Amino acid sequence: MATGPNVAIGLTVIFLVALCCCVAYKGKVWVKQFAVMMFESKKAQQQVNQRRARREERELAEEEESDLSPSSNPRGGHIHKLRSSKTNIKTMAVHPAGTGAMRAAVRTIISSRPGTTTTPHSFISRPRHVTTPTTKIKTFCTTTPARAPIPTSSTSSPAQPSDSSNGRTTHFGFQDGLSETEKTERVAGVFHSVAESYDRMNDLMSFGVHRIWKDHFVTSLNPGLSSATPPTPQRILDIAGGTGDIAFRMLHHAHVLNHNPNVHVTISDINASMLAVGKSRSQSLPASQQAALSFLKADATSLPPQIPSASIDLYTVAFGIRNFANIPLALREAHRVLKPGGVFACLEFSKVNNFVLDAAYKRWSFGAIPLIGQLVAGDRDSYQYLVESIERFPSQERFRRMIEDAGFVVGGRGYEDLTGGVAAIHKGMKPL
Amino acid sequence: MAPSRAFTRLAALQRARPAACRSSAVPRAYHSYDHPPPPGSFNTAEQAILSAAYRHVPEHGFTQHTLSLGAREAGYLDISTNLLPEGPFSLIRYHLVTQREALAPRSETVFGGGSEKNPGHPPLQVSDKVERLAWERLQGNKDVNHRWQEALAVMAQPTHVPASLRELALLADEIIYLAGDASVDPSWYAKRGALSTVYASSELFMTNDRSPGFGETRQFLRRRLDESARVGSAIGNVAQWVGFTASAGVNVLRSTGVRI
Repeated sequence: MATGPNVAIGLTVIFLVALCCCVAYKGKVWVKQFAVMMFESKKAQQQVNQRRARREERELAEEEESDLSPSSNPRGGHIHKLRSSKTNIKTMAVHPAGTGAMRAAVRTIISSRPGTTTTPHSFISRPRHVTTPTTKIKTFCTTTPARAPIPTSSTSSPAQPSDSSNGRTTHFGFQDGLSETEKTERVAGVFHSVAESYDRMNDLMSFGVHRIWKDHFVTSLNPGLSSATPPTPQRILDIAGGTGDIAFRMLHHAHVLNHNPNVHVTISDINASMLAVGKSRSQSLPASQQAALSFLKADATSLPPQIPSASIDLYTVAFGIRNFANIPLALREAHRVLKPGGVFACLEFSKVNNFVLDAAYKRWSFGAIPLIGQLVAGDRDSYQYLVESIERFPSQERFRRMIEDAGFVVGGRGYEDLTGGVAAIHKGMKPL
Repeated sequence: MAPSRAFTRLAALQRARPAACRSSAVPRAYHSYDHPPPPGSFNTAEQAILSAAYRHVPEHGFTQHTLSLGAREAGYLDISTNLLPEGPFSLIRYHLVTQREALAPRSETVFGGGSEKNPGHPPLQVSDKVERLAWERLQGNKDVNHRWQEALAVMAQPTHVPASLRELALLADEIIYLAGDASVDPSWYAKRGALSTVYASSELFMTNDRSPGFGETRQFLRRRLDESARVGSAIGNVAQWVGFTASAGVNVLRSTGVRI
């Protein structure tokens, strides 16, 4: 009997158990200390920001006294609230220096309930220190105050949609009452800042499950399958597919598994940074697949004339549609460019059916994902937006109705839940 | 007063319930006279693709290729087969559903004028009708019998097992309903369970049957139904004996003064 390996295994187990105990006992403090270290360098800038915020708050207060005009930066008020919140007082007592980091690490914020405020003015002009009946305390953090626009000439007035090309309003995370152009700009900002670390973050946030979802999505679509000889050509449009995750899988499936070299994929994204990542990644593909790939920078709600009506066999959008400024318009645009009989397929986060899983999932997405974003990508607010936009996205049933309203036919139940509804695949066909 | 308010609320609930049932269109596992089943389980586009593809099944089997051929024939694209969420299993389900729905008109032609044409014959027993209907349904597999093993393999995949069992239960219920059995006692479940088992095993037997006109399958089906009837009567006899003995024992104990 070999004792050496057994001893080694035993020691490893003891070490791991001890490590787990330590993490369980002191883990929270370590994470906080790490966050403080991360933000020590940014402290100077934070102080500048705070000073500016305070100055703006003063201006705002004066403004509000004169009339109930919308405020553009509740950041100052946000800090004020933090000071009064219990959690923060405790953590500040532990680390009086790391105020900025603490604010990012643990936030308890009073904010408006999502969906109850639909008019553009209602949230912003609400008196800030009063808890009205429509407000409730969130135990998780939210972008509502933190993502308020840094005042610039174009975005400083979210409550004045008249400066944009269309007057319709939409939402950004838990924030209501934004014009569509503004949402487009902000989403662009989010994805500019996360493009570099996109893959690494996806793996960390979903434990690598997103790869399984994407594989299943492409396998179930079965692009390139053709009963004719020679195989009929297919044109696939991958919307919001900047990094090429879906497009490269499609090409592999069609060219290698289904032996159909006549499949062409167009990757379209509104964001040049994401497209650049995809372009550089496509360099490692086989030449034949690179030849069947093209890139297009376009807005999914109004596709350019390069893509004529009734020209596409398969329109896919994976984890992108919830960022669109106007989802029904994008669906109608998809209906326009698809051939009769063409398929619209969408992979998107959705609503979890099991309440136990849902509780765990909510805890993970609101507690851990922004923190991971902060530690790994150095950008908390973008990931905060990510989880909030997931929360705001309609349920499976409602989204299926939206697809049907755009003129598609859906088969069976119309959607397929993945991992208990964390994500869902929706498919629709343009009728003949 | 509280009670009256409670009653009003109950009445309101009872009024609201039928509407809710109708709107949700919950598929029922039994025959309801008040709520007939929704017309079709496939929409028009699905129907078009599936019915076109079904013609290719004897040649190409229950495969994605068949579906793709069907889609092209119906004027759709190759990619349109994505409309069917379960792929080849949709084709199998289409076969099961159409065959089950065809059973009601066929039973009318089989039994419809039976008693009037031959007034001398006694009316058929329920068990005979069940045997006849199960045989009619098995004959529905005639054209795809050489492909049916593939289909059974697909149906046995874990993701498709619930839907397959559901179809089997619906078929057993349909057969027993059409045979005119209206009993609503615990044997309701026993009958349907027994018929499902017998039908499934006969179907499996049929996939290997090479006899002309599948005569051996019919013999097999008859033997299994007889056995289940015998087992059923045996269980009934045993239960009767146990019940009698138990009550007799209780009475004996009571006669000796035990307070039971």
